[in-house]
Amino acid sequence: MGHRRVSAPHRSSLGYRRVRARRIIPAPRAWQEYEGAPKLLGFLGIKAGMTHCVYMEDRLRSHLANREVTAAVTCIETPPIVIFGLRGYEKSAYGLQIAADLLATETKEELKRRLKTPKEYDFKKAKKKLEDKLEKIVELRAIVHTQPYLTGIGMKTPQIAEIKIGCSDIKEGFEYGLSLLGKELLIRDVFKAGEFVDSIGVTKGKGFQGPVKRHGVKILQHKSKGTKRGVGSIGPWTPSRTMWTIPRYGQMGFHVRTEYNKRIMQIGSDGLQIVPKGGFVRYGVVKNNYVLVKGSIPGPKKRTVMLRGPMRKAPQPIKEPQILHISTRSQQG
Amino acid sequence: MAKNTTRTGTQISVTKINFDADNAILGRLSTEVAKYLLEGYTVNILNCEKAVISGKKHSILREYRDMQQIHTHTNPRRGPFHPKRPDRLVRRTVRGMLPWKKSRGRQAYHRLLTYIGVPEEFTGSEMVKPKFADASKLTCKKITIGELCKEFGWDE
Repeated sequence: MGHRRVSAPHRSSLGYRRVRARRIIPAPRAWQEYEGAPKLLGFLGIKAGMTHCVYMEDRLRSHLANREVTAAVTCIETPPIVIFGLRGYEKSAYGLQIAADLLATETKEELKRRLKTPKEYDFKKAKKKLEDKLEKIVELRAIVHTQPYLTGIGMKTPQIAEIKIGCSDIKEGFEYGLSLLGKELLIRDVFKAGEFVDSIGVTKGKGFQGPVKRHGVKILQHKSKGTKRGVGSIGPWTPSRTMWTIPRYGQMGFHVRTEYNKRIMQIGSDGLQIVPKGGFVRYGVVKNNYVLVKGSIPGPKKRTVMLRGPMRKAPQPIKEPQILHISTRSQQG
Repeated sequence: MAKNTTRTGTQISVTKINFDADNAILGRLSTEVAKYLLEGYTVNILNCEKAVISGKKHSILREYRDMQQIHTHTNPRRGPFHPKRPDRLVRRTVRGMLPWKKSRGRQAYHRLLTYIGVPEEFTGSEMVKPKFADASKLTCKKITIGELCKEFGWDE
Protein backbone atom coordinates (compact mmCIF):
# COMPACT_ATOMS: atom_id res chain seq x y z
CA MET A 1 0.00 0.00 0.00
CA GLY A 2 0.95 3.61 -0.07
CA HIS A 3 1.09 3.73 -3.83
CA ARG A 4 -0.86 6.66 -5.23
CA ARG A 5 -2.95 4.32 -7.36
CA VAL A 6 -3.93 2.25 -4.32
CA SER A 7 -4.59 4.92 -1.74
CA ALA A 8 -4.26 8.66 -1.90
CA PRO A 9 -4.76 11.46 0.60
CA HIS A 10 -8.11 13.20 0.53
CA ARG A 11 -8.24 16.06 -1.93
CA SER A 12 -9.59 18.60 0.52
CA SER A 13 -10.04 19.06 4.24
CA LEU A 14 -13.13 17.51 5.79
CA GLY A 15 -12.58 19.52 8.93
CA TYR A 16 -14.55 22.53 7.79
CA ARG A 17 -18.18 22.91 6.85
CA ARG A 18 -18.46 24.61 3.51
CA VAL A 19 -21.42 26.81 4.31
CA ARG A 20 -22.04 30.51 3.98
CA ALA A 21 -21.34 32.65 7.05
CA ARG A 22 -24.40 33.81 8.94
CA ARG A 23 -22.94 37.21 9.73
CA ILE A 24 -20.35 39.23 7.84
CA ILE A 25 -18.61 40.02 11.14
CA PRO A 26 -18.39 36.71 12.94
CA ALA A 27 -18.63 36.61 16.70
CA PRO A 28 -15.56 34.91 18.18
CA ARG A 29 -16.40 31.69 20.00
CA ALA A 30 -13.81 32.32 22.66
CA TRP A 31 -11.56 35.05 23.97
CA GLN A 32 -8.02 34.98 25.21
CA GLU A 33 -7.36 34.43 28.91
CA TYR A 34 -6.30 37.76 30.24
CA GLU A 35 -5.23 39.02 33.65
CA GLY A 36 -4.17 42.56 34.34
CA ALA A 37 -5.29 46.10 33.80
CA PRO A 38 -8.64 46.24 31.98
CA LYS A 39 -8.54 46.50 28.21
CA LEU A 40 -10.50 45.42 25.16
CA LEU A 41 -9.43 42.05 23.79
CA GLY A 42 -10.12 42.80 20.18
CA PHE A 43 -10.47 45.44 17.51
CA LEU A 44 -12.21 45.84 14.17
CA GLY A 45 -10.53 46.99 11.00
CA ILE A 46 -11.07 47.11 7.26
CA LYS A 47 -8.79 45.16 4.97
CA ALA A 48 -7.13 47.57 2.56
CA GLY A 49 -4.63 45.50 0.60
CA MET A 50 -1.19 43.95 0.66
CA THR A 51 2.33 45.17 0.14
CA HIS A 52 5.73 44.04 1.34
CA CYS A 53 8.30 45.25 3.81
CA VAL A 54 11.94 44.64 4.65
CA TYR A 55 12.76 44.13 8.30
CA MET A 56 15.49 42.77 10.54
CA GLU A 57 14.90 39.14 11.37
CA ASP A 58 14.65 39.00 15.15
CA ARG A 59 14.11 35.28 15.69
CA LEU A 60 17.47 34.41 17.17
CA ARG A 61 17.30 30.75 16.14
CA SER A 62 16.60 31.57 12.50
CA HIS A 63 19.50 31.07 10.10
CA LEU A 64 18.70 34.58 8.87
CA ALA A 65 18.91 36.10 12.36
CA ASN A 66 19.90 39.77 12.41
CA ARG A 67 19.77 39.97 8.66
CA GLU A 68 17.39 41.81 6.38
CA VAL A 69 14.41 39.75 5.25
CA THR A 70 11.36 40.54 3.17
CA ALA A 71 7.82 39.72 4.17
CA ALA A 72 4.40 40.23 2.65
CA VAL A 73 2.19 42.35 4.88
CA THR A 74 -1.51 43.10 4.90
CA CYS A 75 -2.64 46.63 5.57
CA ILE A 76 -5.76 46.95 7.71
CA GLU A 77 -7.27 50.40 8.07
CA THR A 78 -8.47 50.94 11.60
CA PRO A 79 -10.54 54.06 12.14
CA PRO A 80 -11.38 54.49 15.83
CA ILE A 81 -14.23 52.29 17.05
CA VAL A 82 -17.03 53.74 19.16
CA ILE A 83 -18.15 52.02 22.33
CA PHE A 84 -21.88 52.61 22.66
CA GLY A 85 -22.86 49.90 25.11
CA LEU A 86 -21.82 47.44 27.78
CA ARG A 87 -23.23 44.00 28.24
CA GLY A 88 -22.80 41.65 31.17
CA TYR A 89 -23.11 37.89 30.95
CA GLU A 90 -23.88 35.59 33.85
CA LYS A 91 -23.23 31.90 34.05
CA SER A 92 -26.13 29.48 33.87
CA ALA A 93 -26.44 25.75 33.49
CA TYR A 94 -26.96 26.30 29.77
CA GLY A 95 -23.96 28.57 29.11
CA LEU A 96 -23.57 32.32 29.28
CA GLN A 97 -26.79 34.32 29.48
CA ILE A 98 -27.21 38.08 29.09
CA ALA A 99 -27.64 39.60 32.55
CA ALA A 100 -27.99 43.30 31.75
CA ASP A 101 -27.25 45.91 29.11
CA LEU A 102 -26.21 49.50 29.32
CA LEU A 103 -26.36 51.85 26.35
CA ALA A 104 -24.67 55.20 25.96
CA THR A 105 -27.01 58.16 26.09
CA GLU A 106 -25.40 59.98 23.20
CA THR A 107 -24.68 57.99 20.08
CA LYS A 108 -23.35 58.88 16.67
CA GLU A 109 -25.89 59.90 14.06
CA GLU A 110 -24.61 57.23 11.64
CA LEU A 111 -25.48 54.43 14.07
CA LYS A 112 -29.15 55.00 13.26
CA ARG A 113 -28.48 53.56 9.84
CA ARG A 114 -27.76 50.21 11.50
CA LEU A 115 -30.27 50.06 14.35
CA LYS A 116 -33.05 51.94 16.07
CA THR A 117 -31.67 53.71 19.10
CA PRO A 118 -34.17 54.02 21.98
CA LYS A 119 -35.90 57.41 22.13
CA GLU A 120 -36.46 57.40 25.86
CA TYR A 121 -33.73 55.65 27.73
CA ASP A 122 -33.35 55.67 31.48
CA PHE A 123 -29.57 55.52 31.77
CA LYS A 124 -29.52 55.64 35.57
CA LYS A 125 -31.99 52.78 35.88
CA ALA A 126 -30.10 50.61 33.41
CA LYS A 127 -26.81 51.41 35.09
CA LYS A 128 -28.20 50.47 38.50
CA LYS A 129 -29.54 47.20 37.10
CA LEU A 130 -26.13 46.33 35.72
CA GLU A 131 -24.39 47.38 38.94
CA ASP A 132 -26.75 45.26 41.03
CA LYS A 133 -25.96 42.20 38.98
CA LEU A 134 -22.24 42.85 38.90
CA GLU A 135 -21.49 40.12 41.43
CA LYS A 136 -23.12 37.47 39.28
CA ILE A 137 -21.54 38.67 36.05
CA VAL A 138 -18.65 36.55 34.81
CA GLU A 139 -18.01 38.20 31.47
CA LEU A 140 -18.26 41.81 30.45
CA ARG A 141 -18.33 42.87 26.82
CA ALA A 142 -18.33 46.22 25.10
CA ILE A 143 -20.80 46.76 22.29
CA VAL A 144 -18.91 48.67 19.64
CA HIS A 145 -19.49 49.99 16.17
CA THR A 146 -17.03 50.81 13.42
CA GLN A 147 -16.79 54.07 11.53
CA PRO A 148 -16.40 53.11 7.88
CA TYR A 149 -17.56 56.59 6.80
CA LEU A 150 -14.17 57.92 7.90
CA THR A 151 -12.47 55.83 5.22
CA GLY A 152 -12.63 56.28 1.50
CA ILE A 153 -14.54 53.11 0.67
CA GLY A 154 -17.97 54.74 0.47
CA MET A 155 -19.57 52.61 3.16
CA LYS A 156 -21.78 54.59 5.49
CA THR A 157 -23.46 52.04 7.72
CA PRO A 158 -21.40 51.02 10.75
CA GLN A 159 -20.81 47.41 11.70
CA ILE A 160 -21.63 46.23 15.19
CA ALA A 161 -19.77 43.73 17.32
CA GLU A 162 -19.28 42.67 20.90
CA ILE A 163 -15.73 42.71 22.24
CA LYS A 164 -14.81 41.27 25.61
CA ILE A 165 -13.31 43.54 28.24
CA GLY A 166 -10.35 41.65 29.69
CA CYS A 167 -9.83 42.27 33.40
CA SER A 168 -8.81 40.52 36.60
CA ASP A 169 -11.77 41.94 38.48
CA ILE A 170 -15.21 42.53 36.96
CA LYS A 171 -15.72 45.73 38.94
CA GLU A 172 -12.52 47.19 37.52
CA GLY A 173 -13.64 46.15 34.06
CA PHE A 174 -17.02 47.77 34.59
CA GLU A 175 -15.47 51.06 35.64
CA TYR A 176 -13.14 50.94 32.66
CA GLY A 177 -16.13 50.25 30.41
CA LEU A 178 -18.07 53.15 31.93
CA SER A 179 -15.15 55.50 31.32
CA LEU A 180 -15.15 54.49 27.66
CA LEU A 181 -18.90 54.58 27.13
CA GLY A 182 -19.85 56.80 24.22
CA LYS A 183 -16.19 57.47 23.39
CA GLU A 184 -13.81 56.49 20.65
CA LEU A 185 -11.03 53.96 21.09
CA LEU A 186 -7.88 53.78 19.00
CA ILE A 187 -6.03 50.68 17.88
CA ARG A 188 -3.01 51.82 19.95
CA ASP A 189 -5.08 51.42 23.12
CA VAL A 190 -5.62 47.74 22.36
CA PHE A 191 -2.60 46.33 20.53
CA LYS A 192 1.08 47.14 20.19
CA ALA A 193 3.52 46.48 17.40
CA GLY A 194 5.23 43.10 17.70
CA GLU A 195 2.24 41.43 19.39
CA PHE A 196 0.43 38.49 17.88
CA VAL A 197 -3.26 38.55 17.03
CA ASP A 198 -5.82 36.17 15.57
CA SER A 199 -7.75 37.31 12.55
CA ILE A 200 -11.39 36.32 12.26
CA GLY A 201 -13.11 37.07 9.01
CA VAL A 202 -15.30 35.86 6.21
CA THR A 203 -13.47 34.63 3.12
CA LYS A 204 -14.11 35.74 -0.45
CA GLY A 205 -17.36 34.30 -1.76
CA LYS A 206 -17.00 32.16 -4.87
CA GLY A 207 -20.60 31.02 -5.29
CA PHE A 208 -21.66 27.56 -6.41
CA GLN A 209 -18.63 25.68 -7.67
CA GLY A 210 -17.79 22.27 -9.04
CA PRO A 211 -15.51 19.71 -7.35
CA VAL A 212 -12.41 20.71 -9.33
CA LYS A 213 -12.35 24.26 -8.00
CA ARG A 214 -14.05 23.52 -4.68
CA HIS A 215 -12.05 20.48 -3.61
CA GLY A 216 -9.17 20.32 -6.06
CA VAL A 217 -9.95 16.95 -7.64
CA LYS A 218 -8.08 16.20 -10.83
CA ILE A 219 -9.47 17.07 -14.23
CA LEU A 220 -10.03 13.79 -16.05
CA GLN A 221 -8.66 13.07 -19.50
CA HIS A 222 -10.42 14.75 -22.43
CA LYS A 223 -12.00 11.49 -23.68
CA SER A 224 -13.89 10.96 -20.40
CA LYS A 225 -17.55 10.14 -20.89
CA GLY A 226 -20.04 12.74 -19.70
CA THR A 227 -17.77 15.14 -17.90
CA LYS A 228 -14.11 15.66 -17.27
CA ARG A 229 -14.47 18.16 -14.42
CA GLY A 230 -16.29 15.68 -12.19
CA VAL A 231 -15.22 13.01 -9.75
CA GLY A 232 -14.25 9.71 -11.37
CA SER A 233 -16.26 7.63 -8.95
CA ILE A 234 -18.68 8.86 -6.34
CA GLY A 235 -18.73 5.63 -4.42
CA PRO A 236 -19.39 1.90 -4.43
CA TRP A 237 -22.54 -0.01 -5.41
CA THR A 238 -23.34 -0.58 -1.76
CA PRO A 239 -24.10 1.43 0.30
CA SER A 240 -26.27 2.83 -2.48
CA ARG A 241 -25.95 6.36 -1.20
CA THR A 242 -23.25 8.98 -1.65
CA MET A 243 -20.85 9.21 1.27
CA TRP A 244 -20.38 12.54 3.01
CA THR A 245 -16.66 12.38 2.25
CA ILE A 246 -17.10 12.53 -1.53
CA PRO A 247 -15.95 15.86 -3.01
CA ARG A 248 -19.06 17.35 -4.55
CA TYR A 249 -20.31 20.64 -5.99
CA GLY A 250 -21.76 23.37 -3.78
CA GLN A 251 -21.07 26.67 -2.06
CA MET A 252 -17.47 27.76 -2.04
CA GLY A 253 -16.16 30.73 -0.11
CA PHE A 254 -17.87 33.16 2.25
CA HIS A 255 -16.90 30.91 5.13
CA VAL A 256 -15.91 32.05 8.58
CA ARG A 257 -12.22 31.39 9.07
CA THR A 258 -9.99 32.10 12.02
CA GLU A 259 -6.27 32.37 11.49
CA TYR A 260 -3.98 32.31 14.47
CA ASN A 261 -0.89 34.23 15.51
CA LYS A 262 -0.50 36.98 12.96
CA ARG A 263 2.33 39.27 13.92
CA ILE A 264 1.63 42.99 14.00
CA MET A 265 4.58 44.57 12.18
CA GLN A 266 3.59 48.18 12.54
CA ILE A 267 0.82 50.39 13.86
CA GLY A 268 0.83 53.78 12.23
CA SER A 269 -1.22 56.88 11.71
CA ASP A 270 0.14 58.32 8.47
CA GLY A 271 -1.30 56.20 5.69
CA LEU A 272 0.72 57.97 3.00
CA GLN A 273 3.89 56.23 4.16
CA ILE A 274 2.62 52.80 3.26
CA VAL A 275 -0.01 53.25 0.55
CA PRO A 276 1.30 52.27 -2.90
CA LYS A 277 1.43 54.97 -5.57
CA GLY A 278 -2.08 55.40 -6.92
CA GLY A 279 -3.55 53.81 -3.82
CA PHE A 280 -4.41 50.21 -3.08
CA VAL A 281 -6.18 48.78 -6.12
CA ARG A 282 -9.93 48.53 -5.49
CA TYR A 283 -9.49 50.33 -2.20
CA GLY A 284 -7.81 53.72 -2.49
CA VAL A 285 -5.78 55.53 0.10
CA VAL A 286 -5.60 54.87 3.82
CA LYS A 287 -6.83 57.95 5.66
CA ASN A 288 -6.81 56.69 9.24
CA ASN A 289 -4.69 54.67 11.60
CA TYR A 290 -3.58 51.41 10.12
CA VAL A 291 -2.07 48.07 11.15
CA LEU A 292 0.42 46.11 9.11
CA VAL A 293 0.02 42.42 9.79
CA LYS A 294 2.56 39.89 8.56
CA GLY A 295 1.13 37.52 5.98
CA SER A 296 -2.37 37.36 4.60
CA ILE A 297 -5.83 37.68 6.06
CA PRO A 298 -9.01 35.99 4.80
CA GLY A 299 -11.55 37.98 2.82
CA PRO A 300 -11.60 40.58 0.05
CA LYS A 301 -10.56 44.21 0.34
CA LYS A 302 -13.06 46.55 2.04
CA ARG A 303 -14.27 43.74 4.30
CA THR A 304 -14.34 44.23 8.04
CA VAL A 305 -12.17 41.79 9.97
CA MET A 306 -11.84 41.22 13.66
CA LEU A 307 -8.42 41.19 15.26
CA ARG A 308 -8.58 39.28 18.51
CA GLY A 309 -6.00 38.86 21.25
CA PRO A 310 -4.10 35.61 20.69
CA MET A 311 -5.64 32.34 21.91
CA ARG A 312 -2.40 30.44 21.44
CA LYS A 313 1.09 30.84 22.78
CA ALA A 314 3.18 33.35 20.87
CA PRO A 315 5.75 31.60 18.62
CA GLN A 316 8.49 34.10 19.53
CA PRO A 317 9.18 36.73 22.19
CA ILE A 318 7.10 39.86 21.73
CA LYS A 319 9.34 42.64 20.47
CA GLU A 320 8.70 45.49 18.10
CA PRO A 321 10.17 44.61 14.69
CA GLN A 322 12.70 46.94 13.14
CA ILE A 323 11.23 47.83 9.76
CA LEU A 324 13.72 49.18 7.23
CA HIS A 325 11.55 49.66 4.20
CA ILE A 326 7.90 49.41 3.14
CA SER A 327 7.19 49.09 -0.54
CA THR A 328 5.02 51.84 -2.01
CA ARG A 329 5.56 50.83 -5.61
CA SER A 330 2.45 51.28 -7.76
CA GLN A 331 0.28 48.18 -7.99
CA GLN A 332 -1.31 49.22 -11.27
CA GLY A 333 0.58 47.41 -14.00
CA MET B 1 -57.91 24.65 36.25
CA ALA B 2 -59.04 23.28 32.93
CA LYS B 3 -60.03 19.64 32.96
CA ASN B 4 -58.16 17.23 30.80
CA THR B 5 -59.50 13.97 29.40
CA THR B 6 -57.17 11.01 29.57
CA ARG B 7 -56.89 8.22 27.08
CA THR B 8 -59.15 5.99 29.17
CA GLY B 9 -61.83 8.67 29.33
CA THR B 10 -61.30 9.75 32.93
CA GLN B 11 -61.23 13.39 33.78
CA ILE B 12 -58.19 14.77 35.51
CA SER B 13 -58.07 18.20 37.03
CA VAL B 14 -54.33 18.41 37.60
CA THR B 15 -52.65 18.74 34.25
CA LYS B 16 -49.14 19.65 35.34
CA ILE B 17 -46.74 17.63 37.40
CA ASN B 18 -43.14 18.26 38.42
CA PHE B 19 -40.76 15.39 39.02
CA ASP B 20 -37.64 15.69 41.08
CA ALA B 21 -34.85 13.61 39.53
CA ASP B 22 -32.53 14.09 42.51
CA ASN B 23 -31.20 10.66 43.48
CA ALA B 24 -33.73 8.92 41.24
CA ILE B 25 -32.91 5.92 39.09
CA LEU B 26 -33.04 7.17 35.49
CA GLY B 27 -34.86 4.26 33.84
CA ARG B 28 -37.44 3.83 36.59
CA LEU B 29 -38.17 7.54 36.70
CA SER B 30 -38.53 7.65 32.93
CA THR B 31 -41.15 4.88 32.88
CA GLU B 32 -43.20 6.79 35.43
CA VAL B 33 -42.84 10.02 33.45
CA ALA B 34 -43.80 8.28 30.19
CA LYS B 35 -46.98 6.94 31.80
CA TYR B 36 -47.99 10.36 33.05
CA LEU B 37 -47.30 11.91 29.66
CA LEU B 38 -49.52 9.40 27.89
CA GLU B 39 -52.23 10.12 30.44
CA GLY B 40 -52.22 13.69 29.17
CA TYR B 41 -50.09 15.40 31.78
CA THR B 42 -47.59 18.16 31.14
CA VAL B 43 -44.44 17.02 32.90
CA ASN B 44 -41.39 18.94 34.07
CA ILE B 45 -38.34 17.05 35.27
CA LEU B 46 -36.04 19.04 37.53
CA ASN B 47 -32.54 18.35 38.81
CA CYS B 48 -31.79 16.20 35.77
CA GLU B 49 -28.04 16.18 36.43
CA LYS B 50 -28.63 14.45 39.78
CA ALA B 51 -30.44 11.41 38.38
CA VAL B 52 -28.60 8.13 38.82
CA ILE B 53 -27.73 5.10 36.72
CA SER B 54 -26.81 1.97 38.67
CA GLY B 55 -23.62 0.15 37.78
CA LYS B 56 -19.88 0.66 37.66
CA LYS B 57 -18.72 3.97 36.26
CA HIS B 58 -16.44 2.55 33.62
CA SER B 59 -18.97 0.07 32.28
CA ILE B 60 -21.70 2.72 31.96
CA LEU B 61 -19.28 5.09 30.30
CA ARG B 62 -18.33 2.33 27.89
CA GLU B 63 -21.97 1.69 27.04
CA TYR B 64 -22.65 5.34 26.32
CA ARG B 65 -19.41 5.72 24.41
CA ASP B 66 -20.31 2.76 22.24
CA MET B 67 -23.78 4.20 21.73
CA GLN B 68 -22.27 7.41 20.39
CA GLN B 69 -20.65 5.53 17.57
CA ILE B 70 -24.07 4.73 16.16
CA HIS B 71 -24.64 7.22 13.36
CA THR B 72 -25.54 7.37 9.72
CA HIS B 73 -22.68 5.75 7.84
CA THR B 74 -23.00 7.91 4.75
CA ASN B 75 -23.44 11.18 6.65
CA PRO B 76 -22.96 11.41 10.43
CA ARG B 77 -24.61 14.83 10.48
CA ARG B 78 -27.96 13.17 9.84
CA GLY B 79 -28.03 11.41 13.20
CA PRO B 80 -29.14 9.61 15.26
CA PHE B 81 -27.99 12.25 17.68
CA HIS B 82 -26.77 11.49 21.17
CA PRO B 83 -27.35 14.30 23.65
CA LYS B 84 -24.48 15.17 25.96
CA ARG B 85 -26.24 17.59 28.27
CA PRO B 86 -28.06 16.18 31.33
CA ASP B 87 -31.50 17.65 30.61
CA ARG B 88 -31.41 16.53 26.99
CA LEU B 89 -30.12 13.08 27.88
CA VAL B 90 -33.00 12.54 30.30
CA ARG B 91 -35.50 13.80 27.73
CA ARG B 92 -34.09 11.43 25.13
CA THR B 93 -34.35 8.52 27.59
CA VAL B 94 -38.07 9.20 28.09
CA ARG B 95 -38.52 9.45 24.32
CA GLY B 96 -37.39 5.88 24.01
CA MET B 97 -40.30 4.86 26.20
CA LEU B 98 -42.97 6.64 24.16
CA PRO B 99 -44.63 5.45 20.94
CA TRP B 100 -42.50 7.84 18.91
CA LYS B 101 -43.85 6.72 15.54
CA LYS B 102 -47.42 7.56 16.54
CA SER B 103 -48.72 11.09 16.87
CA ARG B 104 -49.94 10.26 20.38
CA GLY B 105 -46.37 9.58 21.44
CA ARG B 106 -44.96 12.65 19.73
CA GLN B 107 -47.56 14.90 21.30
CA ALA B 108 -46.77 13.39 24.68
CA TYR B 109 -43.08 14.05 24.08
CA HIS B 110 -43.74 17.70 23.35
CA ARG B 111 -45.45 18.00 26.74
CA LEU B 112 -42.21 17.04 28.48
CA LEU B 113 -39.70 19.63 29.59
CA THR B 114 -36.47 18.91 31.42
CA TYR B 115 -34.22 21.20 33.39
CA ILE B 116 -30.76 21.27 34.92
CA GLY B 117 -31.13 22.12 38.60
CA VAL B 118 -34.25 23.95 39.77
CA PRO B 119 -34.91 27.12 37.77
CA GLU B 120 -36.27 30.18 39.54
CA GLU B 121 -39.83 29.73 38.31
CA PHE B 122 -40.05 26.36 40.09
CA THR B 123 -38.78 27.41 43.50
CA GLY B 124 -41.35 26.49 46.12
CA SER B 125 -43.44 24.39 43.77
CA GLU B 126 -44.44 20.87 44.69
CA MET B 127 -42.19 18.12 43.34
CA VAL B 128 -43.00 14.43 43.06
CA LYS B 129 -40.38 11.82 43.94
CA PRO B 130 -41.46 8.30 42.97
CA LYS B 131 -40.52 5.93 45.78
CA PHE B 132 -39.83 2.94 43.57
CA ALA B 133 -37.23 4.99 41.69
CA ASP B 134 -35.33 5.99 44.83
CA ALA B 135 -31.63 5.27 44.37
CA SER B 136 -30.76 5.31 48.07
CA LYS B 137 -31.88 1.70 48.31
CA LEU B 138 -29.21 0.69 45.78
CA THR B 139 -26.39 -1.34 47.26
CA CYS B 140 -24.36 -1.45 44.05
CA LYS B 141 -22.18 1.29 42.58
CA LYS B 142 -23.83 4.12 40.72
CA ILE B 143 -23.08 7.18 38.58
CA THR B 144 -25.00 10.42 38.24
CA ILE B 145 -26.03 11.85 34.89
CA GLY B 146 -23.95 14.93 35.64
CA GLU B 147 -20.79 12.85 36.04
CA LEU B 148 -21.62 10.94 32.87
CA CYS B 149 -22.16 14.09 30.84
CA LYS B 150 -18.99 15.70 32.13
CA GLU B 151 -17.05 12.79 30.63
CA PHE B 152 -18.57 13.72 27.27
CA GLY B 153 -17.69 17.36 27.49
CA TRP B 154 -20.59 18.96 29.33
CA ASP B 155 -19.28 22.03 31.12
CA GLU B 156 -21.10 22.64 34.36
